Amino acid sequence: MIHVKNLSKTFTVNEKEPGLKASLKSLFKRKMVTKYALNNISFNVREGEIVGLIGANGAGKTTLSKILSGIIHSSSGEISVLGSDPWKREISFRKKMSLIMGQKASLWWDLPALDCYLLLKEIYQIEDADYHTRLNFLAETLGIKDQLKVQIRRLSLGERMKVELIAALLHNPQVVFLDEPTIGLDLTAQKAVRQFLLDYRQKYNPCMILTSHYMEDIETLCERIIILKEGSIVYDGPLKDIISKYANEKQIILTLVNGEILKERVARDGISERITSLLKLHDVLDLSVTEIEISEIIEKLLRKGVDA
Amino acid sequence: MKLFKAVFQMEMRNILAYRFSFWVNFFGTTFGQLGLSYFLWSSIFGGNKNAIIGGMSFQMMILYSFLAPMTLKTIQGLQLLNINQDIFDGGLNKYIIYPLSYFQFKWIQQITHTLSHLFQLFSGLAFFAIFIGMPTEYKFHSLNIFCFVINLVIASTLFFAMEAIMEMTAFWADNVWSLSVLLRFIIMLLSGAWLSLSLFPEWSQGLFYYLPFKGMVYSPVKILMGNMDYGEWAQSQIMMLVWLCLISLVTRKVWLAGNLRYTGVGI
Repeated sequence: MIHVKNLSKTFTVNEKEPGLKASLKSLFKRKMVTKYALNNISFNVREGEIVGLIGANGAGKTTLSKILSGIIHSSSGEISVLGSDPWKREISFRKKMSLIMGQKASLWWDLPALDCYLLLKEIYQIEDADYHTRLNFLAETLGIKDQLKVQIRRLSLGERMKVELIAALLHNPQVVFLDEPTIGLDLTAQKAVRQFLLDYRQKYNPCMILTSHYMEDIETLCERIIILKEGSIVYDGPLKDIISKYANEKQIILTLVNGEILKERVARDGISERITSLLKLHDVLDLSVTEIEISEIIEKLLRKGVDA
Repeated sequence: MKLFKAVFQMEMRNILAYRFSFWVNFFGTTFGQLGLSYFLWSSIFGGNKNAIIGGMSFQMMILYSFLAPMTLKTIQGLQLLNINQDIFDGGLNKYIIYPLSYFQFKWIQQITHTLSHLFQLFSGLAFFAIFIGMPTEYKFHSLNIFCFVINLVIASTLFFAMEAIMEMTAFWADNVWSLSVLLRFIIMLLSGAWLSLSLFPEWSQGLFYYLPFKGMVYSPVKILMGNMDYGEWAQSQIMMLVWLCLISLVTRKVWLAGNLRYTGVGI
């Protein structure tokens, strides 16, 4: 569904020194600097797959979503989404995809959601029966039916995100780009959005690319992740494989008889040996061996790269 | 057509969403304009109310000065198209994602506002006729009203194309509001919105023939007042259409070049 080969994107930005003198100087001459947002990346995404894009701020995640959805053009490389070049912005392509931007409203704030949906119905040329069926399913699953007649600017952040989700999925897209869909939401709303996305995927089987800084979004929704660092892919594979590949340690947690809890990181091949020695040293009430948290491994990868 | 109807209805709901603003705008503009033109021309004509200035009597001049700014407001429709804002804060993204033409969408919004202002203009004209009285030279003709409405749709589209180019410079510069202000000033001056073009010097009349501005305010107001022949009116419409074609070509070029620089900031 999505094919990306040797994709690169550079931006030219204006750099200005602080101060009034520099401001005056910039009226006549500006210093332009070229920066790599994406550097020669390649990957494919299949139908029904949910891929998590992970990376620090400025790693190139949002730039990638924007290129794949046709908002901006690439500097070089080949891209095909649903068999089309996104930059051509063909109407047939735009009817089959959607982009949800957690930090950006795509609806008209002065109108109630239902009015916006009626407009989207005409824009996407959705049949009456399909429109009502999908709207009912989406509104009921998200539990937002009662808020659809309220002016959007008067809704809470969580409610706004839900009405945006409905707007983005009303035309039943085959490819969905989700850019921070749970940003700023409280825990209950985050959970509701995640569950909704899982339900939606089960019913319609679209391919989804999710960008999020919340590890819980990634762990709940994605089987596969792509980790970007400074515009390059440092990991592309199943989420669970990241543990066996990059975590060469496990964690031993001991609860002692006196109530004290001890935690220790041990190399995978030395676990039994270390447990034996710990049991000799302490009066142990309980013992468990756990994997290192995925978020910790990813953080390490982002900090130090694949050699971590 | 269905899309036109849907965007039109949405924009009308937007206009009507703020009742207070709608009514203040409605009454404020109508009475403000009426009062201003009456007192201004009363002092210019002084005691000699039977004088003829720029080919118009006192009564006709008041009617012109009342209609011209209202017509300008009508053709300016949305006033600001917010294309520069969409480019600046990434609002353009949603129109790129939706399967529609950005300009088609904006144009429908523009025409909706134009029609909304047109309702205001005709209401003001009715008020004028009832409480002040139409000038004795005024000739009512339904064909003139038809020409007036057609004229406003063309002029509104031309203003839209001009304003779009000004605002699209936001692809290259961050703050381009001053260009829109400059365009408004030029249109106000050269379209006859401030002063009837007949009051301008003789040498400038030939220039007005080739410029697109005459057809934007002067011609529609004059045709509505029954004070212009159809040949001269048609000429101003053709000139506007020629300019519209030229500006549309430039708009397309600027749009394509600007899109290559667009970064979709804001997400």
